[in-house]
Amino acid sequence: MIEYLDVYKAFDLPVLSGVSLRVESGETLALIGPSGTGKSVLLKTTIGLIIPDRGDVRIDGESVLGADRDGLERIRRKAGYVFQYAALFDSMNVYENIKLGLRDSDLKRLPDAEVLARVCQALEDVNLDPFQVLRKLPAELSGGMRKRVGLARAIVGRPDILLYDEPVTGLDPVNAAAVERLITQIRERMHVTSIIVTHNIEGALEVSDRIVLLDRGKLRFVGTPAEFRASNDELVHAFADREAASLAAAKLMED
Amino acid sequence: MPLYVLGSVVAEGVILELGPVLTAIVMIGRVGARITAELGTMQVSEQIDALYSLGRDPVPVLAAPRILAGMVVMPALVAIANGIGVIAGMVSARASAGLGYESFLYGARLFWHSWDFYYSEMKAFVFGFIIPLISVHMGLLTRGGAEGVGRSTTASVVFMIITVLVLDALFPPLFLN
Repeated sequence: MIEYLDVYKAFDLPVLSGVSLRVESGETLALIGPSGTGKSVLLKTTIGLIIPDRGDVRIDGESVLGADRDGLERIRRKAGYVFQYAALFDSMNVYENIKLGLRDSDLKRLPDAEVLARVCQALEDVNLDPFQVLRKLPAELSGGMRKRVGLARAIVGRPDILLYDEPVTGLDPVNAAAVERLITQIRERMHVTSIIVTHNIEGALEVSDRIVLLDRGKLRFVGTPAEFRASNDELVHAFADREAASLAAAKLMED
Repeated sequence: MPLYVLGSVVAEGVILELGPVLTAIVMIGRVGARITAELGTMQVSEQIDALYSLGRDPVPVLAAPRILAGMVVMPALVAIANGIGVIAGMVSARASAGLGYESFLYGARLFWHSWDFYYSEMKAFVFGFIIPLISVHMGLLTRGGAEGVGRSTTASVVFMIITVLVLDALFPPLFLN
């Protein structure tokens, strides 16, 4: 379970203004909202990549802010993080990138053949042929493949939590649909708690149990996809309906 | 003044000053700038965040090997630079002033102290530590995309050159008296 307790964060301007939210174990939560409203910042506070100015984040009751170095490492090991542009290490091939996702204790304990088997399994889980991509460098992969390798690196350590930062951004509709399908498959197979930051509303409604709409650093809407579709909130409506989005955009331009 | 004094001027000048400082400047341009740009790019493309998210500390993974390599390689490079510098001085002294190799070496040995070698290597060791340290630090502080990488690389080079020159100025009063 992940709990955000009154989280505040400001850089030059406030980004998060008192966000409190609880994500149950096994739940898939989609975090949506206009650009620059703090979705990625909130996601990064989950494992202490960004430290809130006030408030706390707890994972299974363990405080991220109060954690010492070892505690923070332990918390981070519970989670897999899929970055917006995959964040693969340029100088390492696919095998070495994914291997980094395994725990140190596993790397010391397991024979090389078992490590290779786990890396190959992670690649197969994201529908990539291990023998085609294993020795390739990230620069030799397409955008969709890089995202999938990033996802494989996140799941190879068998985490309890998966955090996705705009997993389909920059992908064509076919690859985006493939990644969304993977997210659903991984959730069903691994029973992980997932938080997905996305601008793809259709995808969010498809894969998530609950939708959270963040607006100017505050929670504007929290509810199921059915409640989201039925909501009368102007901004929710703008996100749910293309016509309403056009009207909201016109109003924004006038302002 | 006898011409063989040229040997001691060249040898002492190269070993005490020019060898370590010029090698450091070359290291800053070739290695320091590259480290800052590389780690800066890793920072802005979230690769450093990815390391943290995988429960790994970037210091032992990215910083320590580079700093250790600098401390090992720099003294060797300075020793090579000193050797080449003295030989080049010897050849130039013969070509421009007609000073024979034996006379040059006699002059070089006349004012030679073995401490000079250790002093030169000590400088190299300190520069070999400080150059990667600053470049790694500046790389990890990079913010703001490609422009930020350019900005931090420039700042890093300037900072490294100033630091090397200041440290170089501190060495004689500390170790040559």
